[in-house]
Amino acid sequence: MHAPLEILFGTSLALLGVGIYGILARRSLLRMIIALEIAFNAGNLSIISFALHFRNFDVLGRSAILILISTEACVLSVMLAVLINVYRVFKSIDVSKLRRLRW
Amino acid sequence: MITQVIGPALPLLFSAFIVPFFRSIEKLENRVKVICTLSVISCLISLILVLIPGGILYLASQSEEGMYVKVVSESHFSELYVDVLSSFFIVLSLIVLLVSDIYSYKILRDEDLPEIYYSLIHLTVVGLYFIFISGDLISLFVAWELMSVSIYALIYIRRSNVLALEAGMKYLMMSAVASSLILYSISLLYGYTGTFDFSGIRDAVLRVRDIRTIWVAVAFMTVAFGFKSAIVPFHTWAPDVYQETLDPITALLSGIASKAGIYMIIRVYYTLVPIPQLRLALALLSAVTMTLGNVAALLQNDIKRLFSYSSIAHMGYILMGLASGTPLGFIAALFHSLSHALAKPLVFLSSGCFTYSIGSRELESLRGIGRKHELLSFSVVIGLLSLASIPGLSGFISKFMLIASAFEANLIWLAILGIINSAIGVAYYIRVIQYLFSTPKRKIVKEVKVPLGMIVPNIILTVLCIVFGLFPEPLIKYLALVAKQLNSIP
Repeated sequence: MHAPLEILFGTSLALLGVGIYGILARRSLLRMIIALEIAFNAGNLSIISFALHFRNFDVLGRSAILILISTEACVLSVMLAVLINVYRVFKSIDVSKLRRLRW
Repeated sequence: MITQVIGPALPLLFSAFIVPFFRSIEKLENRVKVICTLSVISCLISLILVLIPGGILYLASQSEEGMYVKVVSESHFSELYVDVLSSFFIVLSLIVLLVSDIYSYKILRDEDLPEIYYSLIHLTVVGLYFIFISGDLISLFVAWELMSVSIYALIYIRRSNVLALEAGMKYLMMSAVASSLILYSISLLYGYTGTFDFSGIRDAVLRVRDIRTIWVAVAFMTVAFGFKSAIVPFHTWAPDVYQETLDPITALLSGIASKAGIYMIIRVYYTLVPIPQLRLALALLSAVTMTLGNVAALLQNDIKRLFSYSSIAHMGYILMGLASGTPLGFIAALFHSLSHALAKPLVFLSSGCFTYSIGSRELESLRGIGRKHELLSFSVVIGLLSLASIPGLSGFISKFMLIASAFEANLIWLAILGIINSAIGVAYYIRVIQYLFSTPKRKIVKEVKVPLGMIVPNIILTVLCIVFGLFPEPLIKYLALVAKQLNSIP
């Protein structure tokens, strides 16, 4: 027995909204990365909800989810490396201070 | 069949994994030279494997509607899909990789960059290769991330450059948002159709033909892929990144990484969701992109920034052919992708040589430099004239066909806008040429001799520009197959 499609898919839409809002509104790089991770997981949850509802979470859905999660982990690790680099160079992770390139 | 399809990527992968081990060999002299030779050879082998009879280019042209290839024989869908479109883009990416491999040698030795630079540019192209041959959305996403992650690292590989770090971070955040949108639209398409593979999605979409629900997924994908190909309103990263990275990486990014976005837009609008009503969005994006790119390029004084805005404008021209959707439009858009992928790396690399010679990127300081380097100034003029679409070069034929296709599809306002934009484009290309050949106000102070390794790539690209301008018929005949394969279902 699992949750109905409406609840799962609605949650995933809400998570996407939270993620995109977080990226646009926050000024701390770390918070932006966390928001990005939420946006990624919205997609994962949406795939899971459709796979559960239409295909009874078969092998295709499960393997797809595993591959996607591991790919996102790679992207996240690169982002954290960039975060550390930014902190070392600018002594701050506030993106509003990175404003040297204009037009 | 699977060996012909995956085979050409293996030399690139091999060189990408072997290069970091050269670091541990202590006694090796000329380490950079060895690594560069290895990379160039592996790239040449891949190019030969693609082009030989029986290779992927030949196989793709033989089949009526593209080849579906299974990697796992038990799976109930095919993971790889190859048609003329994908093999065309593969050849394009390998040519640009070869050129930037040769050019990178001098930079790598001068700037003392880590050797992993070569692995990263090869992994970028491996990612592109698998984007072009992938036949389902999951492998597409993995290949897309492989390409993106390699590019993140490449943009600020020069640690001392603070501006590059800033540009790279900007690119990374926006690109990651684009990736999350791609993932969400993949999930939406999976929800509509119950499958990940291209043919299954296409069949389901054609069976239902309901635009009211599918347009959300298409819109997300357009935003995400339009981001990668720097289409206005998603272009804000492009001038910063193109300006601050090293020249071969700029060539790679504007030459082929932006074409990956164009490729995916073709796939989404013509293979996955072949509904003609949605294509009006492409016409609107095209109009905005070429106008803003050209007008902003007029105002620039930094030569790389000028070329990056011109690169944005050219994405708009390519979209014009895709919006028309006629066979002529396809041929024109792909031909323009080719002429842009040859001419834009050419101008980036040869202006990089000038920059190397005098140590400044300002247009004012380039005054009169063209008189000193005859060969380089010849190639940069050929590249600029090809971008400005002067008859006799490849840019003219493609832009002529683009505007003709817009007239053919009754998009007359778009065609007229294209002609106006083309005229604006000529204005700033001629401005660059004028700076290169005018009399210098004062004597050029600092001047370094340009090494041969930086000149050879320019010669290769110049020759290709002229050849495709004078003899376009074989290519047009080959590209006509693309239109046939993509338009097999209306």
